[in-house]
Amino acid sequence: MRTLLLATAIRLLLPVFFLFSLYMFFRGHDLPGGGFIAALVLAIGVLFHLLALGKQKTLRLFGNSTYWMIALGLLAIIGAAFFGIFKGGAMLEAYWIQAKIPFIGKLGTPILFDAGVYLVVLGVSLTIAFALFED
Amino acid sequence: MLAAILGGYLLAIVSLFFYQRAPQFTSYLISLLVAGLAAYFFSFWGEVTADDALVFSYSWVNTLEVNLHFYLDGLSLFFVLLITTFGAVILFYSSGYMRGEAYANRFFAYMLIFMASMIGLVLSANIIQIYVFWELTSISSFLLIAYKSQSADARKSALQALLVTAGGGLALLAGLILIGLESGSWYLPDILEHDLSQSAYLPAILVLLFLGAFTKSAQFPFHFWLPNAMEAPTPVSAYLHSATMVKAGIFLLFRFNPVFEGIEYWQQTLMIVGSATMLMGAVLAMLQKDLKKILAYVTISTLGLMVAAIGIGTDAALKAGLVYLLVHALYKGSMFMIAGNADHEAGTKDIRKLGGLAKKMPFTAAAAVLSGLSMAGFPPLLGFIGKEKLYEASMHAPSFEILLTGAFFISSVLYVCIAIILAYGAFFGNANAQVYEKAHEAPFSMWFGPLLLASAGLLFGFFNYPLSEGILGPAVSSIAGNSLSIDLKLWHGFSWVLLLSVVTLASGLGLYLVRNKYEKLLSFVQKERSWTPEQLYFKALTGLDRLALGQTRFIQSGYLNNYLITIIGFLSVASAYIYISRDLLPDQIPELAPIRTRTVYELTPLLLIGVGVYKIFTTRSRLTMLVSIGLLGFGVASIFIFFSAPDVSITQFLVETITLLIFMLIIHRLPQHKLLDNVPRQFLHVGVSIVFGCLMTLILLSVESADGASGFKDYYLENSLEIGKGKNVVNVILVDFRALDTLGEVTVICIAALGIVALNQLNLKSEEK
Repeated sequence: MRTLLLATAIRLLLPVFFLFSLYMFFRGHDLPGGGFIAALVLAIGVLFHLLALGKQKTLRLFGNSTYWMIALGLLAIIGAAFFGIFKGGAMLEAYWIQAKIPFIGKLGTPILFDAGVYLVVLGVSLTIAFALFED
Repeated sequence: MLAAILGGYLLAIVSLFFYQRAPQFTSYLISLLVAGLAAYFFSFWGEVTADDALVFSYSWVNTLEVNLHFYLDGLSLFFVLLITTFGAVILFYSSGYMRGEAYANRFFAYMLIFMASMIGLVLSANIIQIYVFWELTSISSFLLIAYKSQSADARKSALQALLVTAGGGLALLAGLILIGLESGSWYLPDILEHDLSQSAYLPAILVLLFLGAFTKSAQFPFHFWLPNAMEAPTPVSAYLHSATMVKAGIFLLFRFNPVFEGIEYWQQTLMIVGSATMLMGAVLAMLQKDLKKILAYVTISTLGLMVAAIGIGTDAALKAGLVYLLVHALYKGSMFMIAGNADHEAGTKDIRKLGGLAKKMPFTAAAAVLSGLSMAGFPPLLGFIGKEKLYEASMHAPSFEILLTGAFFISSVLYVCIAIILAYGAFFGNANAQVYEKAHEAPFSMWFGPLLLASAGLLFGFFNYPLSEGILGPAVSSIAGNSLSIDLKLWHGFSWVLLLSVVTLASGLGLYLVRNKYEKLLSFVQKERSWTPEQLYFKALTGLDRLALGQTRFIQSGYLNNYLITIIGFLSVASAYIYISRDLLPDQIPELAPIRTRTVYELTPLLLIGVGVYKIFTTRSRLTMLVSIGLLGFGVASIFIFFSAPDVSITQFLVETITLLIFMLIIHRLPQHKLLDNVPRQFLHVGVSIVFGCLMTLILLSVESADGASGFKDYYLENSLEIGKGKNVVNVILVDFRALDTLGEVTVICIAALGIVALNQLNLKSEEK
């Protein structure tokens, strides 16, 4: 799949994939989207990058960060899960910040949880892709 | 109280991290603190009497009725004092013995973990708690035996000890649970009041309890782990494998004696197994040449002696068993340390090479003589009193008195002979010049402990009123379940018992003089045999390995399509079973909402699916097949759009895409694509597919007909915005309503990723070779 067209396009499109994935993430609580979908969007972008440009170039962008994504994602999920306990409530109980934050919207432990899902799914898909792919 | 019990664990952590900075200081501090712990428990002296016990309760898992109850009666006080005083003495000894060892910090940490667990065990008043501490002692024993982890023998012995004792522990757990269910209480003092003799589960309870106690206390046929456990550093043998841990089994029997007393199975099993172990251990001990192995077999024998005493079950026998336990702990703890000194300072544990060391090692030799005399049962030491009590108990046993007395007599004669070999043979007699040259006295820390314990054996012979009144009396009362007192007199006047003692000593001396003939006589015992309990243990292990291998080969065929068939087949059969057994099959096909076809383009998904299916069955190229499956997926995904499930649709589109892409990554690594030409196999694949398809349709139909009843859908739709603060119900379900499911799923995919990475690495490595 080493075509010049795809190779050039994906270099320019990867940031767009990233922005679109962020967009999908933040609209997720009210409109179709969310952490899982957003992570898959970015992962597809990166997979195209991998196919078009080869492992070396993609790894230059990501390095070992995929493992960190998995770890941080799990941490975020567990943090969101235990937040309720520390607050004296139940595990996984949702807590929200009252004020709306400009550009982002509502913030609360479910959003943190969703961010964890995003990181884990992205990290896992990329880890698997990097592990399996050979030039 | 909680601090005193759990303090040991804390001290273990401290020693782990700070020992290396100041080894001598830390080890002295540890033994001092443990001595302080002993002093704390001595403060209960007098508070705990024959009729009075103390209870300390702390809430733990309250909902399961598992709470931390600590129960201090005569028996637990006796044991806890034994554990802490021996702990202090042996830890002090270890400060010399372990000097300069690279991993001495771990050694001290394990010893302290063991001590704390043992204290917890003997003080537990909740039977589940007994089990927890019981297994903790097995685990710390494992760690200590494997202390020299570079040695394959040490690792093997440690594993053996763990498998035998922890396996027995599992049996014990089952037994304790049965006791708890039958008596309706998990609280020990309640259980001790309970009469279980009419229980239908009595035989099972007894067998399970025996398995626990006999494995821990190295009774025949589970004795073989104990001699092998001598791989551990000597202080471990002195502490765990003579004075304390192996007595946990005896403790258990003592503990439950009031419940099962008088039941024939209980008494006779203990009597038979105990006597057999006692004789076997004593006979085999004579044949050993290694100091520690001799001591190990004597320990097995003595543990058998105590079990037999519990089996006799009279008040006199219980008293004798308890007194002998103390006697044995004192002389055996001391002797192990003496063996350690010989090994450390003279360079060998082989009794054939040791001799005449008394001049070089006077203090160690003095300790050896004193503990040897106590072991032989020579007046006026405590060992003499113990032996007298035993003879008295066996002569007045309710049954088999002649056989029992005979067995006690034979083993006592052997003890006398072994005591002479150990104390006289090693420290007097002819010296081996080479060994003698090198030998020198151990440092103070290493002769103080053995001498202290050995002298205690002498002191208690004369002066034992506070001991018998303060501890042994209350202890034997808890064992017997009624108020008793112990009288430890040296002189009972002329009697058959005294005569027997004298004959024992004389025969022991005689046996020592002709011991070479004894060895020849028993040489057949030493032959390699394939049916010894230890060989059976090894056979069981290899059998288990083979079973695991065969089972793995059968289940893990390595072919992905086998796995898929197994998973799908199992799911289908299990679901079908549920459907049929619970009569869930719908009587008629539920009426479905009519499909309102508004426009022609809504039919395109069906076209996509049709083309996809057609291509899958006609193509010969793997890539085309893959794309066709993707096409099918996209078709299904577009159906979701028309039925207003955008989230599901988007997800499916993305998942189809990413699956295709990942497949592209690895397609060149797969072997050549071949069509299946095995006809039965083709039928199997088609059959499984059809069954699974039917099953999924059935499930969908039942979901459709049951949908209204559950009310989940309405609940989620109504509360999504209010409680979940989101308009997208799917997302709110994922991250809020059913976040626990998501948590589990996310964890699973992380593990899957790690598995893929690990397998891939493995693959690379085998390719490199």
